Amino acid sequence: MSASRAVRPRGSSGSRAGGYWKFAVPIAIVISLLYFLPLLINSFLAFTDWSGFKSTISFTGLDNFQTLVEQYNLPDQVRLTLVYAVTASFVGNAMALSLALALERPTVTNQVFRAIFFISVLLSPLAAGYVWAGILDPAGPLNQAISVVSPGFDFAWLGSSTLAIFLVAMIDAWKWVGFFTLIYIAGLSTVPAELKEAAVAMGANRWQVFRHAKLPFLAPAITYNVTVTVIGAMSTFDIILATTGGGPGNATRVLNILTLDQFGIGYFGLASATSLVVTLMVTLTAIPLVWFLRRRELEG
Amino acid sequence: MRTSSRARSRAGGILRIAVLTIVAVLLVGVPLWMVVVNSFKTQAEAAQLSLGLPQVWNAIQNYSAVIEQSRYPRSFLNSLFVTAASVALLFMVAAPAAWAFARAKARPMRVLFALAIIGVVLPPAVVPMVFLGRSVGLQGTLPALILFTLGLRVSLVVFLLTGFARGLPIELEEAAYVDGASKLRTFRSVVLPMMQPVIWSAFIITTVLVWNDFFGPLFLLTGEDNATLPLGLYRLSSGIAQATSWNSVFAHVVLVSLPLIILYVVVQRRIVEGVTAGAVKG
Repeated sequence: MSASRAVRPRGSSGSRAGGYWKFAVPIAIVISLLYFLPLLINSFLAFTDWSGFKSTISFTGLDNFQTLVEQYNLPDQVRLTLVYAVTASFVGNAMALSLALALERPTVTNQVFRAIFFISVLLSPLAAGYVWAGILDPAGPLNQAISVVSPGFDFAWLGSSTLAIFLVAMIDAWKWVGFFTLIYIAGLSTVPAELKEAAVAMGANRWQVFRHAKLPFLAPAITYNVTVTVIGAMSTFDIILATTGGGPGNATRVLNILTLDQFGIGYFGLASATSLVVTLMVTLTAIPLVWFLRRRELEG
Repeated sequence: MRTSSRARSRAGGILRIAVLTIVAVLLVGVPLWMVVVNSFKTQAEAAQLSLGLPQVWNAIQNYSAVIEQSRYPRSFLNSLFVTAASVALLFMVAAPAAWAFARAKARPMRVLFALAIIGVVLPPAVVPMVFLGRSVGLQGTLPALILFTLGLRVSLVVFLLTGFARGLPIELEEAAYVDGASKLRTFRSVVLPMMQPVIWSAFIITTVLVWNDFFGPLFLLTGEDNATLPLGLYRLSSGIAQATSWNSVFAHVVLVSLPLIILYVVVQRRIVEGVTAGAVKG
């Protein structure tokens, strides 16, 4: 690697060292106009009274945020969004890591299982929501199974204001588990075979092999998966809309659902403010991730 | 001693497969079976959500009603158009940039790369896209959704592609320069073919994400003519009383999910390889 770098461009072939910027012009335009500009406009609109009811847009300072706190219980919605994100991430990663350990070796049987567990990744989150709305329906298969031991059991799972947020978060975990399993399997493939063999030869039991031989090599995959699931779940939307629509009451009204509600009734400025809260939450969570990726990049 | 431990490990193997089978049946088999079998039943029978076979087969009626009510052919073509156009644009923008980011050492390029991948974790705002769409006359149309998708996914694509491009050997490119090839030609004839594996897996990942997207369409598309498949599913399912029309809801779930599942069966091996190869690079 260093040898090839040492070959310096000479004379007329000097173009090879520079001139790459031309290939990055399209992406520079795309991220400026379609990524940063919307974010910028959003942080402006969040402080305005833009709505479907008047033709002018004027600056209203922190009014929208005051409305969010006073009328929409903003701290509650933030807490709800965090509960959802942490549950979805924890359940999803626990399942994915267990499956990855069980399906680590690339045997034919394991390939078949990996493919089966990947099916839910392909479903649209909306479709996944309808599937589980059926399973968890008072008349659905879950209650039918429970009724075998406890006849007439007809609990409305998604109608429970304490359980609903955890259940919809678990649907989220179910939807993505196949994808994160593959990432853990990729992480496990970086564990040197000699290390595992040596550990087994020294009499280590399964847990010790996992803890001391495999886990250190899984660290990057764990950090990646945990952060991506937490951050992804903060922007959750489809699954909740398909299952509870934000209810019962406000029990699953996470921030993005709130944004849609406000947008739907024409309060565009308020919707922007709610959306800005999501942006801030994600940014505060993402900084450690970016820091981590940079650090790994330097090491690699 | 040896035989007993071998026997024990064989018993462990059988136990492992038994547990995995039970988990797969409960978490994948039962939900999918419930959806498919109930989509074949009459409305009254599907309302019981039982896992048994239909007493009266109503499949053709259900599916033809759903295809008509949700204007499935139209939504399908819209989804196809949005997905194809978005994915094509994504790669036209991200592939050259990924190579440039992998090779360039200048500080501005490193800064640009850092800015370009922020979107991997921080989603762009959707409400201003409505505002922007209105001001350029694209409000509610498919091109507005395509532009939103471009801004939403370009970070992920350039992130995956750059990680791969960094690992490519530079010697072939240098040989091309020595032969007098331009940068553009080198990119097209030398670099692009080498990037095929990662382009393939990134293609699958973005296709799945764009095809299934619902947040963007819900905010950005107006009018029945512009609906994509997930939007059609939502409008159909929220417009009818779910508890009494599970047969229609599930028939639509099947119709919306089928295109990707067919694609998956065709290219299954490549997805698994692609995710496994490219994933942990970042």
